[in-house]
Amino acid sequence: MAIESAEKAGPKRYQRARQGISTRQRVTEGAIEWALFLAGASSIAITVGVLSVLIYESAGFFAHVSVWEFLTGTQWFPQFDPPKFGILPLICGTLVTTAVALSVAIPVGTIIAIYLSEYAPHRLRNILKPVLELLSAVPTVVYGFFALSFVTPFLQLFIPGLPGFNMLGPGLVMGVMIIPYVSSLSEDAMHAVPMTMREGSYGMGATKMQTAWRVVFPSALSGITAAYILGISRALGETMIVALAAGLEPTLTMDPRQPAATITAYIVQVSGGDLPHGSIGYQSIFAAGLVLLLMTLVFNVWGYRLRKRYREIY
Amino acid sequence: MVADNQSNSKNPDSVPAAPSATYSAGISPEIIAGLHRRKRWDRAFSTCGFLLVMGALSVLAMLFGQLVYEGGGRLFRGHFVNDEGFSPKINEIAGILQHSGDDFASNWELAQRPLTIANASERLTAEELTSLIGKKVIVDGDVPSTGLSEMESNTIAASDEESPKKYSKVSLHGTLSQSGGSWVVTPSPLAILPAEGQPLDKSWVGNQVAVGFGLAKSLPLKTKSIEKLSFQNFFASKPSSKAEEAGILTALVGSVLVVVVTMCLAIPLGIAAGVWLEEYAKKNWLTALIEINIANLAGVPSIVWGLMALGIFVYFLDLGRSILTAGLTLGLLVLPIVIMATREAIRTIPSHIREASYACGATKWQTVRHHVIPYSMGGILTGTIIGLSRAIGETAPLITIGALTFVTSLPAFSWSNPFAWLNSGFTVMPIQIFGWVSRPQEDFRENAAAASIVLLALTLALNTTAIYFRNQLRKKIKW
Repeated sequence: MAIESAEKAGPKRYQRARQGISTRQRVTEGAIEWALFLAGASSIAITVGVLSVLIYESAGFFAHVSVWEFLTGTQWFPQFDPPKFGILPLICGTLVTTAVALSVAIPVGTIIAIYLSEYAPHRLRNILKPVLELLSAVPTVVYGFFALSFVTPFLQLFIPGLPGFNMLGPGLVMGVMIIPYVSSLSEDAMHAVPMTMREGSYGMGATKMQTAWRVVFPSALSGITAAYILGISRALGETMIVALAAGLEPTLTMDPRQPAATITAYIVQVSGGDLPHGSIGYQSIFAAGLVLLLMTLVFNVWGYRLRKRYREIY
Repeated sequence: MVADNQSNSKNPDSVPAAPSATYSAGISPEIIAGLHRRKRWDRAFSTCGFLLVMGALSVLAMLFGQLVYEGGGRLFRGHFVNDEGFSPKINEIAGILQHSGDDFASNWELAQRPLTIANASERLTAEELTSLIGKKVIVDGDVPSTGLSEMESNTIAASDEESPKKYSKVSLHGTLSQSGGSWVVTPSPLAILPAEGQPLDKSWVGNQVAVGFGLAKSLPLKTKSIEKLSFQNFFASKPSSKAEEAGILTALVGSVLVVVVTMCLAIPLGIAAGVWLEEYAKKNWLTALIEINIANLAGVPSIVWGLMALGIFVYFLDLGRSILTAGLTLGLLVLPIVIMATREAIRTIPSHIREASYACGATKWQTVRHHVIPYSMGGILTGTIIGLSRAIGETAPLITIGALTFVTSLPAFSWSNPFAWLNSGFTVMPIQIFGWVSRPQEDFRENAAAASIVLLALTLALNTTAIYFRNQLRKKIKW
């Protein structure tokens, strides 16, 4: 008996090896592939979840407030009776703080990127780049506290009459926070420019600075633009810095020295309180969030396209 | 290129000097001058770049400096908690506290100086006093408030109006020690507290004690030996409506628990999605859609995640404003970071590793499990740590789900229901800081700064670890 079974087992095992993997293994493989696919596809479910919540709650909001009034109104007073929901003041606050931030982050970030990519010795670059990235790792609530307790009082020394809450201080701090986003991605793009192009420029007698600005920068422009766009999208969505230091009063002003609320600050202010579920105030934060998401989405898609392109060129 | 760089930046004068000497005969002076000018610009630009890098980093230094300046001291202060009712009668001794200084300054520093107990042994034997050395004692004193009017009337008048008594009660916490034959009470930081019912005001107490000593030079004070009294520092204290008694215990615990939930969601899901995209996904429209979708999710403002969580987790799934909700929210927020890190890490593995595995008869999953995932683990870990630091510092989405509440109790844990803590309310470090900053009282600013130091130190430490890992990996792995 024992001998017989052993004889049978021999060819069977051999057969199995010839067949390839066993059925059980095949099922396992298939199941695992499905599980992994589901994990990958979950990102789509998440996106659908985000969009459907925002759209569902906003639909309730727009049943009371017309879209036109919402997008063109210049007064945002949700607590008034009747409430006024014109989002322009919030958008204006968002754009002004973003503009202040970018006026710091884009020049400084670009020059830093050129310095790191073209001038800095290899070792120094490898140290400075990650250290600079720490700037964007600082929790934003800490930056907000810094803007409120240091930057604004400091600015008050130079700008008399600057209120304690203003858009300038948090904007500047936000700019510093965004520097690494701009500089790191721009540096990556410049680094990807082939050496032969630089060598051609040096061969014509150009200095490093001329090469950097007239050869490397234009060649890496799509990557650099992608970096700027990422910076813009960060600045638009930044919440805690402006919520803490820019004030919570919706004001339609282009003057960065004035206090004004941004879209994000409004959402924080409302959800920090206790609004009843389903009320119009509650729904208004979703409408505001939808506007914010669409604003950043445009920049994100644009930036993604540009990044893909510069990766393909070289 | 590198060598070229260094030689240029180190001896910038060598280049212009040489041509002017050698070629000046053939080349017009304008060209030489132009070369000089361009080189000067070049050097100026290089310096400018370096200065800007340093400037950006100095902001980080200023940030840290400001926080330490405002809240550094708070980290080391705390308050005494009388957890079991102690009886002051038991070890009551009487002594005379004498101020060691002669100066008449009425300030806080003065009140913090060591105090000598004169004629302590009249009530307590030397042995009994020796047994108290190193232990915490409370000194209850009656500081004469009459006669102070000429000195510090402005400061004290307010508190005396209500109770026009001769003495103000003050108690002092400190450690007893013996030096040079006399008994000395060294006040603990934030040691001098007014008796019950008095407002806690540093300057007032400081003035009271200092002025009192200044006037009387020596005054009777009762001492209690306190062993039941425990000192709670900033890290061990729960939130409180009094700034000096508030601490970050619940926030720290809450942060840890929320991050645990976050990581339980983000790590497995993120690695699985990353593996699928790199190893399994075919190049078709669905994959392209998922890729662009993940890139977009990474750019979604964090507050929008909070709105999503408010709509889905809090109201639709009815999970409440719990640790579970917060962890899931942050898990989704961190997910794109983990996916991207996983993909980057897997991409660096050369295909011959996989081919060798297949050649040995391994299936796809076996190859992934035994080769691809282990080899990319370092990169995944780096990305995960960065995601972790992001999750710890994230405030906005948690405020949106309504975490801005006053939580004084730690989540309860019991073996019968080991996951009950998931449903309990919570507070986390950034929320605690936000709450303190937005309070109107100035005192809480110091707490906010101190908590910011802790949070900043945590995130910077995590990021530095990630950088270190990344560098080690770059050095070690050579396929």
